[in-house]
Amino acid sequence: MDARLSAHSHEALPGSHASQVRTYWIIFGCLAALTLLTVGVAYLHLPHEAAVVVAIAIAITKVSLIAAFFMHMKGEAGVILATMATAVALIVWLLIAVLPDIGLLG
Amino acid sequence: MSTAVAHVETETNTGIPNGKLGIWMFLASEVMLFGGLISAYIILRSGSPEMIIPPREMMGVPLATFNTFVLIFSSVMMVLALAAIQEGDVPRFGRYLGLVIACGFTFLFVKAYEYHHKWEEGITISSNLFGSFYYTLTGLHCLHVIGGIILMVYILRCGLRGEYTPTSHGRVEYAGLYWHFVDLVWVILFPILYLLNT
Repeated sequence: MDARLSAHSHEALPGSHASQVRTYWIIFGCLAALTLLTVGVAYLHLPHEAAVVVAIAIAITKVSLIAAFFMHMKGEAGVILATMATAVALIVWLLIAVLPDIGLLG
Repeated sequence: MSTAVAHVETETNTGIPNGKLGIWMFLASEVMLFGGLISAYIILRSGSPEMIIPPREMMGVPLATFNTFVLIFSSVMMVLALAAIQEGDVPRFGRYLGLVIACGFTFLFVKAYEYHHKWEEGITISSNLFGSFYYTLTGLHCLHVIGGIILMVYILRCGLRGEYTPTSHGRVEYAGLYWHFVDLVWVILFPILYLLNT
């Protein structure tokens, strides 16, 4: 039995095209603003720990916007979300597992 | 006769097109690649209070910020190129994808200038721990940008030859996913290498 299923490739919806394009430019504006914010905050001479937290928070926000809207992860199937979440979770675990041994010696 | 757009049957074993699942699996492996190196940098920097970090003035934050804008803009162009081919507008697809390629080259040229400037300042891959990480991380990223440019040139060539239609353009989407990931990695590298320099 042919185990191959069929999946329909993406079909353009003319009525939503203009709103799609508008969304992309809005996200670009958000990313640009967050980039400027990242640079601006870096020159505020915050305490190191606060600077790290703010920089990471802004980076995570930008990554989420790119993934959700440009990579269309927002509407993707669960298996794709699970795949990426697994990879990210493993990297976070790598940090958590190794940091106490080496990273916190100083 | 129905005027509805005919659906193209794409190969799948999971309900998701095989190509799409494949590219996402590849990107997951890329997360492990860059994540491992970035984690190493975070861990070694945290554990080395005496690690010499070049000041922001030496790192060239304005140029790196410009490069960040270049890649973000290229991501917008990429997603607009995809939207264009979804509507069957090949000339518009070609223009946007051409801009993606141009942004890629711009990023590389700026990076080449940065590298040369840093060499003159004494920041090399063997000068210290920061230099090692900086050139390894950004160099690996540049290799991915080069690969992305080659891929986009191929996609552009195929697109201009009429190989992609509103109902069959999977490769454009998959190439776009790769390009967005390259932008995403730089979004993480930029602050940790250029801005957290206190």
